[in-house]
Amino acid sequence: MTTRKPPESETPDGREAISADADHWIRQFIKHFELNVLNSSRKLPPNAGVSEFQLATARAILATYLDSGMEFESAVELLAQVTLEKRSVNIAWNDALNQRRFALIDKEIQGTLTAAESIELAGLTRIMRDHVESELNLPIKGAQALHRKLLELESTGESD
Amino acid sequence: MNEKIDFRIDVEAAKALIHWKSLFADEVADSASRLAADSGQPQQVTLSHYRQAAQIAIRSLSAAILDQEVSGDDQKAA
Repeated sequence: MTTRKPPESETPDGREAISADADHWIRQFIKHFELNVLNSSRKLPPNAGVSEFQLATARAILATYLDSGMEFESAVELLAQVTLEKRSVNIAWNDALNQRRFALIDKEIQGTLTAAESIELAGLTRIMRDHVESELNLPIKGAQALHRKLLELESTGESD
Repeated sequence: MNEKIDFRIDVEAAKALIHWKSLFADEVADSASRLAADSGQPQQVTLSHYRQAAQIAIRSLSAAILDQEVSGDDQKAA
C-alpha cells in the first residue's frame, strides 16, 4: 500500500506546519532585523515622519541580509527579484526579459540607468542566472538521458 | 486619541526589549520541542506544547531579567 507523503508545509493530519530550521531562521532574522531597525532609527530626528521610518526599515532589511552571511550583490539581486515577481506572475526567463536586460545594460554603459532600472537589472540578472544554473538547462540532462538509455540496454541484454 | 505622545526611549532600553523578546521566543521553542519529545511525538510540536512552553518561558524570562538587573547593579557598584 502506498501513502501520500504530505508536503513539507503540512503535518500528517493536514495542519499547516513549518520546519524547525524555518522557525529558527524566523526568530534569528526578526531579532537581527529589530536590532538593525533600532540602529538605523537612532539617528532620526524627534519629528521624523513615516517616509524616514520606511527608509530606515529598508536599510535594516539590507543590513539583516548581510548579517545572515549574504554578499551585498546577492542581497540586492534577491530584493530585485522579489520586486519583479511582484510586478509579474510569470517570471520564467524568456526572450523579452533577455532583450530588456540587454537594453538596461546598454543604458548602464551609457550612464543613463535610473535607480529603479538598476534594481530591475539586478533582478533580471538573478533570474537569468537561476535559469542558466537550473538543472533543466545544464548539459547534464543529456548525459542523464544517455545513462538511463545505457542502463535500459544493459537490463535488456542489448548492450553487446 | 490621535495626539502624538512626545517622549524619548533610551536605545539601551529598546535593545533590552529586543533581547527579552528573543530570549522568550527561543525559550518557548526549546521548551516546546522538549515537551513534544516527552509526549512521544518529537516530530510534531503543537500549539498546546507552545502554550505550556510559554508559561515556563515567562518564569525563565522573569528570572533572566532579574539576573541582568543584579549584574548591572554590580557593574555600576564596581
